[in-house]
Amino acid sequence: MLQLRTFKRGGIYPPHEKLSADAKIIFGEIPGNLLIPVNQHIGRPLKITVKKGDAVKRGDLLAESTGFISSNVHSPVDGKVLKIFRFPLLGGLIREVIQIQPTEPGKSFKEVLESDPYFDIDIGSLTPEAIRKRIEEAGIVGMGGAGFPTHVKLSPPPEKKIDALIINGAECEPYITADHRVMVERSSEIIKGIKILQRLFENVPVYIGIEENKPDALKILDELVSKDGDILIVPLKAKYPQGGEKQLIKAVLNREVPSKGLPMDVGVVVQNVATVLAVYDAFYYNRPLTERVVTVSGNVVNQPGNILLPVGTPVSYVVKKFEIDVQKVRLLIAGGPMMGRTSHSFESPVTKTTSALLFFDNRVFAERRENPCLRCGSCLRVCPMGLDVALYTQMIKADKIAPEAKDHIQDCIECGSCAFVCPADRRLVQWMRLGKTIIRREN
Amino acid sequence: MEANGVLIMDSSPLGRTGESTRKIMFTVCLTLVPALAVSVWMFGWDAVRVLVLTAVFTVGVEALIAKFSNTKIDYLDGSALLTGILLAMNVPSNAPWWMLLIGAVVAVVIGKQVFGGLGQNIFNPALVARVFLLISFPMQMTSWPLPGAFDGTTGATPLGILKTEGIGAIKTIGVGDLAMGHIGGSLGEISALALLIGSLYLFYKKYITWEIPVAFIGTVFVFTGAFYLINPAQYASPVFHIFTGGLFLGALYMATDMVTSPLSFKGKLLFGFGCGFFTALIRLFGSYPEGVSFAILFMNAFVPLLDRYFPDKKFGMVKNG
Repeated sequence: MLQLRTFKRGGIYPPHEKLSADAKIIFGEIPGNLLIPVNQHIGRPLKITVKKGDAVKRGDLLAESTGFISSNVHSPVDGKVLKIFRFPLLGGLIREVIQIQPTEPGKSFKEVLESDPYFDIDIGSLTPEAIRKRIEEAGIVGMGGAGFPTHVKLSPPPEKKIDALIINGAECEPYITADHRVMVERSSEIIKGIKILQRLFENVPVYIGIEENKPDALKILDELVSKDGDILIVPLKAKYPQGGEKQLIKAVLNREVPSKGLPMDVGVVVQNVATVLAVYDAFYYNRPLTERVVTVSGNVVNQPGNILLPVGTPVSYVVKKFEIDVQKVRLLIAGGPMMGRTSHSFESPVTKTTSALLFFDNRVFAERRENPCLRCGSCLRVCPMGLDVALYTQMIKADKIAPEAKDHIQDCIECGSCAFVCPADRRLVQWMRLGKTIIRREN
Repeated sequence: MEANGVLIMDSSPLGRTGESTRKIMFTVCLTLVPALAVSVWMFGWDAVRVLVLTAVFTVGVEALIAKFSNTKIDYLDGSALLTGILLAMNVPSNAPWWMLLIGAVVAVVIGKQVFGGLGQNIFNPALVARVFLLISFPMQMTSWPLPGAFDGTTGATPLGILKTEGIGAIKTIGVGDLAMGHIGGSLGEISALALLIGSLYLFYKKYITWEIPVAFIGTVFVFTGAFYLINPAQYASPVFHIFTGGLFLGALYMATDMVTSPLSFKGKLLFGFGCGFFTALIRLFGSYPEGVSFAILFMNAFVPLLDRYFPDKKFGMVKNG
């Protein structure tokens, strides 16, 4: 095996807690009720195309994009539009959702998937335009968490020459194993998905970056691609935030995305493995992005696992399926503990970007109170962007942001490494977010 | 579906390493134990008296301020205790109780709380108090009980002897005596070796980093060494200089104080260099025999500038593509 690569600056080593690493992806049933958030992406808000009482089929458009940076939403099941209203999403924000009453609640979702027809397409015959169009239609967004429309990321302006495609299988967040299981169980589909993306950029080498703590995924994919000269598996050191786009590019290609820049500025396009799988599904099964693998874990989950869920599934379905004792749950996190969001409702739905649902009692993460900054420098030491977090947060708090600090504050990737190590329990990520907001308002 | 209680809403990240202000402060205090043990061995119960009194005074003063302050002050977070221990290490073992009380008040009130408390002070509180005492009570602060001399005889420090009596008077003091503490001085001045041993754990925990101590001691060594080479008959050897006075205490525990030292790599190096430069300057040409305290306090004032003008390179500060 190759030597482990990683980014050089900063980073932390939180416990991996990959409790569900060996749990096969299971399939549930169609829940009795789906709440499909209208906007699950970054970009222009969608226009709802259905109304109360409409009958919808699996794959039907529910809300359509209103511009280039926007992404369609489809129905994962046959059913009826019950209601369109505002409801708390995972993370607590109250946003518009489309409530669907499925025609066949309780039906195995595996059966639903198996009844989707398979198309043995010839990738060679697809034009780049057709590929981008299909990805756009299918409502595919970055499934690593950000939810940025994938077709936009795949359409760099012509002056940005792309010479490398990186597939992100780092999965550096503790607990989450969704990408890991996808890489183990659907490896050949991922490779086929990559072949589709390769059509967009002539002869670009492809790198699949995977952290060393997923040896089975590394082995399976390495065997699969050994025949392909242009796909390389890159084992990465298990260091957080290895899966951060800029950190991944630094580790794999030793290129540094410039401040305030994008991966395409250094000739790279990065896609998450789950996103690549969604691309595969969009072409070979003509499926829009309406389901995803979600890790269910945490210290009150007796049998942590991974489950394929239709978008819109309420958390309460997962609670029943995994026999979680709700009386014990004090903390519900959508995503990982480093960057995930807490939620206050068990009825909030899973979205395209929900990689995990974590359930904890209050023993794990104690409440914290901000203490004065000691200037110990821990935050500077672990910041993967090399930011002077301690100084910036003091400036932000005093509402006196030095001009030279502004660009740096905007470069914060909000990975949470600083707050993770802060001995004074300062809410550094929140201060940095506030700083970004202040700077954005000024501009 | 309803939870028994309300679900906690919080912002990411939700995990913690378990480091805390208290843990850092008490760890630093604990690493001073070897040096304190040497001083107790050398000065006997007098050292214990000074230590306990100063610690009780500093924590007491902080507790009093906490009681009347509108903001919440955790006077048991160990920072006041650390200030007390460091102050105790900077005074002679025969210091009267009222001097220690004045020192504690100066350290906590003028050194720390007037700036806004923990983390806000510009100058190292223990050093502010030491310099205040040195200027206010020069007699008491410069006549040092000699180690092992339990009959109350006092004398000057090796640096003091050097300053007043010249190079010939220090010929009899060996390096071993200096490193092991067989010299006159304050509680913390007398054993460079014990301080170094204690500080190793701080390096291991990354509570302190090498830049400041190495730059500090290195600069003193090079600077005094240059003059020693020019004229060994007039100037003491660099080895004598680095093992005497408060250099190890200052370089390892005072200049590296998190609150009052720079954050960046270059800033730390420059800070350490400045401390070393001014220490050597005062020792060689100043009217005071020792310059560590003054040098550190002087450099403390530059910390905001060093932070601002010598920041570390950021990720992405590269030419486009």
